Amino acid sequence: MSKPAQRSESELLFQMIKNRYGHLLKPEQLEEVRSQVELALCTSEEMKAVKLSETDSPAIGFRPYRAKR
Amino acid sequence: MASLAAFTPIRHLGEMVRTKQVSPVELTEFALRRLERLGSKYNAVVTITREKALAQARAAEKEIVRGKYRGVLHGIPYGAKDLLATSGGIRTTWGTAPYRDQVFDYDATVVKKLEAAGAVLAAKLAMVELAGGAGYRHPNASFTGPGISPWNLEGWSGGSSSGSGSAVSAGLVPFALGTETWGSIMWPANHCGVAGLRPTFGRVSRHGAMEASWTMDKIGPFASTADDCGLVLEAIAGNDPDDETTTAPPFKYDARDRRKRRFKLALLQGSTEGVEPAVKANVEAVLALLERERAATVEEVAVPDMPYEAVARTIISAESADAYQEFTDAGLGPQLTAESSRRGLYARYAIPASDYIRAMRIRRLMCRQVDAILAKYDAVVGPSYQTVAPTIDREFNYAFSGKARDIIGALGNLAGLPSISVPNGFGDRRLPTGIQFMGRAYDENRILAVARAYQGLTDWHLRHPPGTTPDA
Repeated sequence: MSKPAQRSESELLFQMIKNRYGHLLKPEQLEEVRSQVELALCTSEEMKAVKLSETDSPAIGFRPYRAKR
Repeated sequence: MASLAAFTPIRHLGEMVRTKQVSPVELTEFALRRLERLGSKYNAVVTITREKALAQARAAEKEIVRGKYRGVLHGIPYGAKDLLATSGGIRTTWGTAPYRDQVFDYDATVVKKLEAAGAVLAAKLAMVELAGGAGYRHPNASFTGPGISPWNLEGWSGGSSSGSGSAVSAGLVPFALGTETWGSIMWPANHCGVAGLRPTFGRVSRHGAMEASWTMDKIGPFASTADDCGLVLEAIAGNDPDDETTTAPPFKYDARDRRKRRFKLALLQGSTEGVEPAVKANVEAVLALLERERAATVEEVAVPDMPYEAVARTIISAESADAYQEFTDAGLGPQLTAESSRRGLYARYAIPASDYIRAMRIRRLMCRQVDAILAKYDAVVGPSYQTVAPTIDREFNYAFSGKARDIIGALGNLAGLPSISVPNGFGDRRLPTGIQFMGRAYDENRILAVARAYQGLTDWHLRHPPGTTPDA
């Protein structure tokens, strides 16, 4: 993702958080949240750089449930 | 009656109880006195469970007199991190001011298991608020005050199992339970100079424990020695229908002397880069000693270059976003103690589901890669933390916040691998350092054997903090 695209996505996500929880946060706390959202996007980019194949399924163990009687 | 002394290993205490040299009531009163006298000095305790402890101790005493001895933990006092549910009106605060009066009407499975083993719950121990899941960066992140290392009153006891580490370090209780999502057992063990065992994911039921991250939370013991950790793990491990992640293989602690065996160890490449000089020197001294004593061969091993910390951060953030949703939406964030916790709860709600799934796909790949490497060794070795205990008045580098590297911690927790931290010397400000031995999934007995072999050659675990004299 290009830097401007990342900045714009980060701003949209930040606005979503601000909309939901902004009333609980002071301006300086909101700025910290903004940088945490940016960090999460960098983390996302780091993970996208890992090459995965079709057979690399998630490490989630769902099991259908059936009660014993 | 034999005279009691703090820091006596569980194995020895158990034998004293079994042979009636000491009674469970006497032992419990001894622990309660120490908890009451020293607990607040280290901000280690939330609640002293005096009434329940004495009732359990009296019951244990009656049974033992009648010849019903339950095993080595019978009549032994312990403390539980204050995120493990306890019934009978004993509060479970999760380290947070908003939940300072929270009570449950049931006991966590581990509390029930320890009761069945005859152990005596003497205290609920202090912890970082919400087990650190709010993204804290300062040691003061607990409504009971910053956890203090008994080795230096300006040093932090670590988090999030702060009181579990310091209570054992100061000899307030013979053992304690803590939890780890990422670092919460290894770091307090390092900062407080005690043994801390993180079991394989699923080895111990989390039913009744506060949830931070469903696929990464583990419960494990703190004690004076690796041997004691093995004894406690056997009592708390096992399948539990109330926690579907618990796995079937039963755990039987194997305490046989393996000193004649030469262990195959691997130092994780890069794990001592950028750490405090004393931390590096102490890890190297351990490996040199084990080689010199022909107790181990050591080589260096590299793991594939993968974003371990990024993946761990994403999984913990995404899972805890839901775990704390009710807390966050109730507007309780501003009531958290640390400023960093108050602002740390929110950004995780912007993580897309696709990022979480991608992290879980990479995780599966990592698990396989790491297991293939670990299969060649008895244990992979690294420092338990990058420094000695940071001072309680300043921000520390926390891998979860993206400020520091902790590859062994990130990959170990992602892959759900067992690891044990034991003290291996001292560093700056006469604070202890620790070394961790990490094994393949379900290889607790192997890493415990390595740690016991090391402790058999050294006396770091026999040294105790100043001002914690062993008498009551």
